Amino acid sequence: MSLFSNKQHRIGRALLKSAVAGNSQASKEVIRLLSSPAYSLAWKMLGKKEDAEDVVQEAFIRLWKSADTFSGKSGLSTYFYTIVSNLCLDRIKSLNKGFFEEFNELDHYPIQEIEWSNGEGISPESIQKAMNVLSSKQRMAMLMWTYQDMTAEQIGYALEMNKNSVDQLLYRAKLKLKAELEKGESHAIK
Amino acid sequence: MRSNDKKHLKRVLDQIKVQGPSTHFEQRIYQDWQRTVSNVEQPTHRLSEALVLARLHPRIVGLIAIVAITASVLLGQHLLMSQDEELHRIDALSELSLSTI
Repeated sequence: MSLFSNKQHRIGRALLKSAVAGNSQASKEVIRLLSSPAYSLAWKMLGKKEDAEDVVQEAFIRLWKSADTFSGKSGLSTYFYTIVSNLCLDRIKSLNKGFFEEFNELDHYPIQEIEWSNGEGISPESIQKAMNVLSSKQRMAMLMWTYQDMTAEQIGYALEMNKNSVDQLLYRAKLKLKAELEKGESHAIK
Repeated sequence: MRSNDKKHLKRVLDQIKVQGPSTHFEQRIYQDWQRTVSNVEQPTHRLSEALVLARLHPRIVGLIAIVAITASVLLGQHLLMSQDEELHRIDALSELSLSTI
């Protein structure tokens, strides 16, 4: 598993180096691999097509410029999503200064298993609304954990937090989302 | 437990409709790449670029190596055989000239 992922990391690094060396096929391959999931992540984070496109475009420019500093210790996609998530957080910070919630690391909850209802009958709009209730960091961590399959350590690296804080952040996000979805469900039943 | 959690969340979040990007979105990223790369200093020797390409396509490199080795073996064999034929011809000619004498 580790050998496989190391090989993947080496391939990603070679691909990026080749793209920056001027190989257009390699650059197209990097764009093909990363642009769509990164756009989806940015859209779910920012909720606007133009903002998501701007962030992903800017992230690619940073990727090309910082290719020399990419060591290949993490995967290319993890490295790229870190750039995307940081740009999303910066954008949210600049747009809604009061909205950005600082995470209190001392306030820890005991992590327990969450029982989800089947979630049927909830409209996509209600889910989007429930996601918007989460703080930016909670939303970002949840999207990276669910879609990019990133571990708590990798998310911590992207959001500049330690692993325990990420675990707490994710747990609270799930609780909050579950509560909001249940509210939506009860409205739908009424 | 965690994987079930993830699966459930994914099922819920998948229902959010993501508005697709503009038609030329990837093209714009590609143009940015062209602009960025043309500003970056190119490698001074082509060897490093060739090495990067070789690492990127190990199968093609292997295939090229096999073709090159096979071609050189066949060429060597052909040269040896043609040398033998030449020697036979010289022998035959000398025998013929000797017999005429």
